Amino acid sequence: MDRDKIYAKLTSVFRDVFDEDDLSLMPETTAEDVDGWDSLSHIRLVLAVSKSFGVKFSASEIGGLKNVGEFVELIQKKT
Amino acid sequence: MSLTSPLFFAFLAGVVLAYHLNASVSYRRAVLGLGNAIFIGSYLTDYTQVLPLIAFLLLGYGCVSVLSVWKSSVGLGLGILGVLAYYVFLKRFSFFDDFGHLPFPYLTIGLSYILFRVLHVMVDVHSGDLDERIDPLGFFRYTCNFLCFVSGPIQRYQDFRTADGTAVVELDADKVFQAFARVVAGYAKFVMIAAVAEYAFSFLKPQLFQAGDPSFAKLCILYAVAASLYTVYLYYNFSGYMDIVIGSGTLLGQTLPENFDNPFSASSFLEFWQRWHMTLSQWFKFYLFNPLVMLLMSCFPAPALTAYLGVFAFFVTFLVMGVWHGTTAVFVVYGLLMGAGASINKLWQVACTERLGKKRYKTMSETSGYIYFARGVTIGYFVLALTCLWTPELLDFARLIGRLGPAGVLAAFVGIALAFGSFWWLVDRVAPRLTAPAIFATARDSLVGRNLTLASQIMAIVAVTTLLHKSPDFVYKAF
Repeated sequence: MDRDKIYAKLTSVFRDVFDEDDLSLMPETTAEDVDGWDSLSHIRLVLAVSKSFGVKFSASEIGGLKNVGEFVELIQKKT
Repeated sequence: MSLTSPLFFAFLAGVVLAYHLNASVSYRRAVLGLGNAIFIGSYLTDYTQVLPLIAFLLLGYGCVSVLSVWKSSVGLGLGILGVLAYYVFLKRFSFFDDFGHLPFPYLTIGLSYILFRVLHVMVDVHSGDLDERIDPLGFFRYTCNFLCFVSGPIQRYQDFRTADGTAVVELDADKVFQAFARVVAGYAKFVMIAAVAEYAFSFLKPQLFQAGDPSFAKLCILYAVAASLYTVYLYYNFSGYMDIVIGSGTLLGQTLPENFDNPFSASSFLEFWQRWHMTLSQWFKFYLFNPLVMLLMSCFPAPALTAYLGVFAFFVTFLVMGVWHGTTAVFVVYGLLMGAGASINKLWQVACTERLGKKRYKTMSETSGYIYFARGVTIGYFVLALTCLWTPELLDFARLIGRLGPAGVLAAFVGIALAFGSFWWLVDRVAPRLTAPAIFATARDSLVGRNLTLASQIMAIVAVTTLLHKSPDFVYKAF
């Protein structure tokens, strides 16, 4: 899938999960930058992304994600 | 061999020298493998003592090999069960005494950490995250890396393999100095601060159990001071050990993961565990907490339930992590206390967010009064929970808590929390004013200054060790 499309779709998933309509994503966005992105909402986010993109993530992929850029790369690899 | 013995220095020097004699990957891997074997061998007085460990490694390697071709969840479940069952058998957990045990003494040091490495490789091979075939000797070098053998850190295989004899290690004077400085700082923490704290602690501890009728206030103060000293001992012992192995790792081209990040500056129990024994908590996050939350969220998808599922998952994760620390019933109490700490922390966050709203709760938690209060409560709770680690027999633990009563425990908790909160308040007030003149900093960072600092640290270590007349040991080795 094209990178821009992934960003657009991922942004809408993020907005839905974190309930923030004006949230925008950059490759370097981390959990620190998004209000409420903690270990619990991270799992909710992963589940929502899995469902939305139809992909599965492994334990070390879920735990090892450092920023949105890595997340997009991972989705791109799987779609 | 103990990491504080002269033998270890000779051994480390030998491995580092041998490692740098030749840059061929297979040669360096042979040096590391042989180094691990010699290190483990130094704990043995008879070859039979190592047989259970070899069987454990063979079982783990067998599971990994099967999972690399048969990626079935049933296979993974059976493998995990098998490895865990054999681990519990070898560690002789007191609850499973009826199952019997091996009729000869054997080596159990490092077993807990090997367990984490083996399980991690099994899960990652099954999920396809680790797709390369690990050869038996590579598996041995990873699971039994002598630097991490005794008490971790729990390095991931993916990080280990990049430095498994293949790293181009360019050691210049600066890097070597940094490595030595880190190792010496570790020994300074270890034999000066930790050993002195342990000395004072072991002087006070018997007084808590002594017959007689001490006043309530004396008992509470004694308990609070002893428990705090134990925490100081534990932290400096373990983080000193980390400095030693991380510094030594640099000389072999290994970048070992850090285990501590200023844990005592944490202002919540959950934050504390993101800063304390980090490789352990990260392991539990990857392989227990995340999959458990995922399972729970799949079963109960309503977003309103998220926080409560989290409370439950935190409880389970910290319970298991606590129980891992020992083999007696007291460690179940420790696990329950850890689980309670984590879930109460989460419930507090949920309650505050619901009552104040996200923004006001965030503003409140950033005020300095709240931070000192939260740091005090966090550390007070942790310090008292650690009582389980220094009274590993349930009877002693019950006697001590019974003697103090709820009022005594509460008084000690308030005392520690107050002392600790005030300590941070004072540090934050005084530290910014203590700026040394620039000339001191320049002198300290000069070649002579740096070496003098290191030399004086070494002298201080020698002086304290001579005074204390004993060789300290690593507390986490026992877990």
